[in-house]
Amino acid sequence: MSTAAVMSPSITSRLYANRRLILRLAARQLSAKWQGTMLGMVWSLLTPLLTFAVYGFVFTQIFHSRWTGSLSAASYPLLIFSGLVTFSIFSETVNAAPTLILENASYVKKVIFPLEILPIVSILVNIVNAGFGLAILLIVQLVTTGSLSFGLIYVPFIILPLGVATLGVAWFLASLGVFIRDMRHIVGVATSLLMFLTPIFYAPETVPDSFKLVMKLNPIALTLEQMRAAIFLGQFPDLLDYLGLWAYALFIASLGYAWFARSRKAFADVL
Amino acid sequence: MSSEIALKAEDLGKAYLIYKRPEDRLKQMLFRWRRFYEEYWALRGVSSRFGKASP
Repeated sequence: MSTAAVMSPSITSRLYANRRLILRLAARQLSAKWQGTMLGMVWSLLTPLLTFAVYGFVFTQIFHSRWTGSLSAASYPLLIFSGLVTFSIFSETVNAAPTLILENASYVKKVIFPLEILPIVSILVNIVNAGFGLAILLIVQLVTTGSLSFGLIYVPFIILPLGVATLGVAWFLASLGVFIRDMRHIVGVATSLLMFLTPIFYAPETVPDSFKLVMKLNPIALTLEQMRAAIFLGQFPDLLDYLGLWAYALFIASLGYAWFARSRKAFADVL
Repeated sequence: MSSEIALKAEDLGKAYLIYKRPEDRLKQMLFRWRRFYEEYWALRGVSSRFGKASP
């Protein structure tokens, strides 16, 4: 890696210069997870399948939950699972962010390393894992309904702004975690609260009118709606909503990166 | 020997800024007009002079 790549100010050129390293680290992290296990990669499909089975059982057999609203024709377990899988891209990345730099202190103190790629590696890994979850969802959908929606090809486009916004949050939290060691606990609680405040287990239509406006402030809710509309109804998101999410995502990402870039020189002082 | 001085340095020192807690470093970034660190002077009062080399 050249010094120019480390010193260059523009984030996109820095990421492009480090693309091989990013992919290498992500691949290593993915394979390290199953290293030495008996089932190996089977786990990456087995885990979401078991999660799906447990959620499906609890919510349909014990809670007798039903989905009200425009998607009521779709299977309830599939609806909540699509929400869980999408939300996990955000929550897993954000939960890991506060300890990302702390756990790689030698990258800060011992070598010249492009620290800003660590959150990107993390989000790539979580997107791949979400992909396995999505694969399970599609298999179940294909087996139970006999067909798959054409809207599946919209899924990557819908996930992209969520990923970019999550990256911004992760940059911010990765830096903050170095200085405020309580961050990991704060973030852990915040994401589990947010999971219930995001329409994952219930339809957004069932939210009482007085809270609807507050719920609208959560951009993940909009992404979930778009995901479900694509997977179960084959609809492409409303273009204005979609562009709005992109604007929001780019705004969050540039704020997060600006903070990260400004504060990184102080990491070595406190590690 | 020439008495001419080519290079002179007086009273040099090196201080490290010591932060007691990690959050102090964050506060220092946000509130630059205040001090959240303690100085540790590793080196202080070093002076030296170098004369011109004789041709």
